[in-house]
Amino acid sequence: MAELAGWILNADGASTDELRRGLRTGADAVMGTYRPELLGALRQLRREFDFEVYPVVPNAPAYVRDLADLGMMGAALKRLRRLPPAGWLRLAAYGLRNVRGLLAQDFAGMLGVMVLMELPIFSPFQPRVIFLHAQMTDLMLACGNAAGFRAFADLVRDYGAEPGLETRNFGHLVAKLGEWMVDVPVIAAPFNLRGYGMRPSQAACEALLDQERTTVAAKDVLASGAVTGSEAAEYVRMHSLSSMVLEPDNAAGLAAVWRGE
Amino acid sequence: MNPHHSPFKHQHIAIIGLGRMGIAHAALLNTIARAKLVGFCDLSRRLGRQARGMGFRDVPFYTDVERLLDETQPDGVFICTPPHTHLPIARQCVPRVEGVFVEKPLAQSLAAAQEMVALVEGRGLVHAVGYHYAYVPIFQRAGELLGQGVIGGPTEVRASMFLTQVMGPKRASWWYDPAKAGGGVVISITSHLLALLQEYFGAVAWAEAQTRRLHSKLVEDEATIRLGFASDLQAVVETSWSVPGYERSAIEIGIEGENGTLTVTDGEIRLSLQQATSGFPAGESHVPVSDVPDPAEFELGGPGFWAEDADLIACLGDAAERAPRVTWHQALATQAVLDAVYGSAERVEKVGLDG
Repeated sequence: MAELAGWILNADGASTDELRRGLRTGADAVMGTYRPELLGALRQLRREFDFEVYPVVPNAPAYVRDLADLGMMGAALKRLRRLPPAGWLRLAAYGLRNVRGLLAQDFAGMLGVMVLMELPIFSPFQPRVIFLHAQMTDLMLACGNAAGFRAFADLVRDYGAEPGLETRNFGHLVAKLGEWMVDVPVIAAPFNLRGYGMRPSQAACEALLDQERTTVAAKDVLASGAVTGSEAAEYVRMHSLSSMVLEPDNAAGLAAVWRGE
Repeated sequence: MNPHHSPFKHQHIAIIGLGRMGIAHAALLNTIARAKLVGFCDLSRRLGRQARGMGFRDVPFYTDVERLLDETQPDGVFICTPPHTHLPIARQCVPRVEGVFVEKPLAQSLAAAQEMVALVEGRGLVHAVGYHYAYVPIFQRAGELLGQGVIGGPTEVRASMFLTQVMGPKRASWWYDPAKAGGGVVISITSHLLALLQEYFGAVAWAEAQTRRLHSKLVEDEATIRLGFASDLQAVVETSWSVPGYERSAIEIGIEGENGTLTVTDGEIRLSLQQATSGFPAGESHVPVSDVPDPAEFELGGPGFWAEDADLIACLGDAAERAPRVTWHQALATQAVLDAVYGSAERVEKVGLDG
């Protein structure tokens, strides 16, 4: 099984101060999608704390917005401008290897380009695990795009990291990955006492936890405020979930419960 | 997940328009056991190639609606093209299928929307419009609580809908062309909220609105709308697609009633009651989104979308014995409110709605 940090902070929408407060509680990783402010925050916080960074790529909402505002070429150019030279070379090599798929508008090939336009930005943080954004995961899952998952896993492994998938459809995803024989060792998905966001059902998702060798990072453990910190801690212990993704604001409260303070 | 294992008759569905919403509906329908995608249609061959590249290799692609209908003989169609094309496409499809789903708004103008509703009158056709908030469980629950009279009779409504979409000059697109979209933020985004308010409080009698352009040249980016309902209740709506911090559209509806207030957002329902009722205590209480059961078997793009598509498929299977939650008739009522809002903003006066 892939090793994952125990306490992971969700950086999306979080400020530097919020992340700092979360890291002070003992969180040992930060996961999030690319935005310029996040990179600045991570650089600054790395000088103060020892923690891992798990990128979530590609930033699908930003990409959709840029496609509408700037067109495909404009969106691509915007991303190319912020790439370091090594990123350009890797992207060019990928383009040459996948020229046929790209010309045919094959989604697996296009996904590779989107991912490679963001990954080099995170290289200074040497991520051990790189997650595919939930919107991409769930779209490819719904479309039955096994090739897309394989392409993502291969690309991330070429990068020297382990592939991870974010999803809001854990049970369906695990079933399909098994059927397609796609090996992805890490999945981040909702797991909580209320079954909130656990699809197709809480029971089905929990049953898969016992059977799967995949490492799971539990998201939404507080079920959007319906579950107390102690209930969440008990749930996580009961299901031997070794990793949790927490909002920085919730981390402090949960840390106190976790340590029995 | 796998339609091939379903014991039911499959509803054969064609998608017309392969932009973002067309692909989203194709993906969602692919997870609904009783739905089978039989054809795609778009004027753009590039979008056809993209859909194939997404994984829909076995779904035939057409650039002509008549040919799509001739060769695939669908039970239902999803029209996911820009609003100004809904009416001409509906004219082609309505006589030849059992069900039609149209992305919101129903049309770019009230006249076109009226013509669309006239097309389906007396046909026994299943028709639906993509006002998907009607299927979002937290908003359904709020509607139930209002119906149960938890806050008593409503006396005042304040609502808002915000999104970060237009933060500077935009590239030319039908979204920002009033002849194609029908307007800006109000018709493209806020129409969801207006449809929801009608579901909660019934028919709108009048509208008074001010719209503002911040970045767009031809359409409004912000609006303040006052609505008067037939019940004499009034609502104030603030909306903008030019505010930072809203990656996803966010609705908040606050309702004051004789027994307190109810506020519903995408994340929770907050209650502040004078007297305990229906299992809720006097004082403050809240219903988190996770306490409201969500029957959706799959989630893509947020809550409500899967249920919306599944409802249309189920209604098709029921041979039109029941209607989807948002029919073309309901969407026409929303279109009439949109028309009044734009008329009021243009003429700077309160505009009444007929009937």
